[in-house]
Amino acid sequence: MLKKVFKHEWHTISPLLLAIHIIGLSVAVICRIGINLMGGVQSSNSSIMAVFLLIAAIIAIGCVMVFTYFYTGYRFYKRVFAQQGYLTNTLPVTADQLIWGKGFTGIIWLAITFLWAIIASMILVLSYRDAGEFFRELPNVLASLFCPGAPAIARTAGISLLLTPFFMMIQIYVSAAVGNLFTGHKLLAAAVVYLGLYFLQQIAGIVIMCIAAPHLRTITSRLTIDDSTAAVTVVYDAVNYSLMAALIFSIVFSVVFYFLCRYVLNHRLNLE
Amino acid sequence: MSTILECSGLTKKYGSRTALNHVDLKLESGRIIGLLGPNGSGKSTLIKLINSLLSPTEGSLRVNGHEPGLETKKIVSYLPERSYLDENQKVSTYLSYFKDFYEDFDTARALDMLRRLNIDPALRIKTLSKGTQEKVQLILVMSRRAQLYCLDEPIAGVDPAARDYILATIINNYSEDASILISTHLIADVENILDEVVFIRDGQICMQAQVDEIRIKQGQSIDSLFREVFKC
Repeated sequence: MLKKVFKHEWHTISPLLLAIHIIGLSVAVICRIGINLMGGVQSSNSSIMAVFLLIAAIIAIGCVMVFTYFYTGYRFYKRVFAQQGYLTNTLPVTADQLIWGKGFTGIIWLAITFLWAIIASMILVLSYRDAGEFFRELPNVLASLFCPGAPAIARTAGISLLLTPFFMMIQIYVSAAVGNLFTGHKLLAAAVVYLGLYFLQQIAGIVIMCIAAPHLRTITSRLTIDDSTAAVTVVYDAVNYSLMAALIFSIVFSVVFYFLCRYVLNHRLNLE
Repeated sequence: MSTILECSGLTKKYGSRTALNHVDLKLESGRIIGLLGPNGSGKSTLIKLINSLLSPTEGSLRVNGHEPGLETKKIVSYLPERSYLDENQKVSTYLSYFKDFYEDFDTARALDMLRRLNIDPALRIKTLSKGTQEKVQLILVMSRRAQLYCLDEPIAGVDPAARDYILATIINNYSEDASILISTHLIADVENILDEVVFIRDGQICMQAQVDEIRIKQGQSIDSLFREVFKC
């Protein structure tokens, strides 16, 4: 059943997202051609129009990313908690199959969007030669991130990056689920819940930084100028611990969000 | 005959408002049952509880011996009072959707019913009139070989000709060992197809009787009895 939920969700949301990404990429290509025709943005005689085109293209890329994220979240709300929920919630599937089936679609599209944004940005700023070099080096960089001798900070950052689409997806799903508990204005309630959770996580991030910062200051104050290598190691370690703490925090939040979403679907569905 | 639905002390509250109040109800299989009551009497709430779209505040509900959940969703076919079809999808998309998820879905039967109504499965839902959309939804629901069909206001908001078609579709497409629970307040249109009626008022069952009994013993039609019971 999980496969079937995924299949139908994929077929439903993909046509529009594919079209949006193609349009976004076309905008990036057109802007790049325009920028080249105007002499580029790095040259001393670059025109305001070229800069404007670059900004417009960056905004377009950002819009596609934001749209993809909120569209997949909105689709979940619409399919599960709005009118279409009358069909979705009477299908013989479990809450887990529903969350994972739809979640996988969203996660895959978010991952595609991240890669797409990198490619679109490269089209915008890199020359053919630089782009070729980038792609030649990319597998080595990725391999070095996860090889045994890789710096811990790189590994933590890599894992965080891989898990980010999952964290983002479950956050928007749980917002829709909690929004469903309200009697009216459920979509608005879901948006408010989303913002609330976002701020909650930001506060948690700040708390982590506050805990790490005095520790870092104490250690660095003991170092002399001659200990520059040791200082770099200390800073790296401190940043790595902060990143790890943030990652653990995100995992804990996501697990809680997942079970909350599951609980609402199983016991508190409210399709009045 | 076995029991297809059993409710005991079933209560549903929306905040401070009580939609269903300690409902005790037992329905046998192989019957067409009318769930009759005025607007806001709790008909839709009861049907949503059967389909696990709502959770009861108190009491219990069993469909074919199971609590509402995965097992009951396999045997209950539900027609809500509103459309759940995505307007951007094609009719054929829903055929494959139902075929994928419901083992008891009969695609040939659905295609036959669509053909009789001249509905092209390749059409998008948004190109169909509201009445045709309702018919498509009914065809999907009645093309399942379910054990219990829950039809919530299936004839409200459609013209008399469409009502006849809908009722004929219901009658012609259910097996005799299955049960149909029809919620409506348009009694005159459905009373000829009913075996049993359940009157519901203010969230409580105020009468459950066989249609023949009412006609013979009380010498009344269901419609006139309804008007008498629910007189304002």
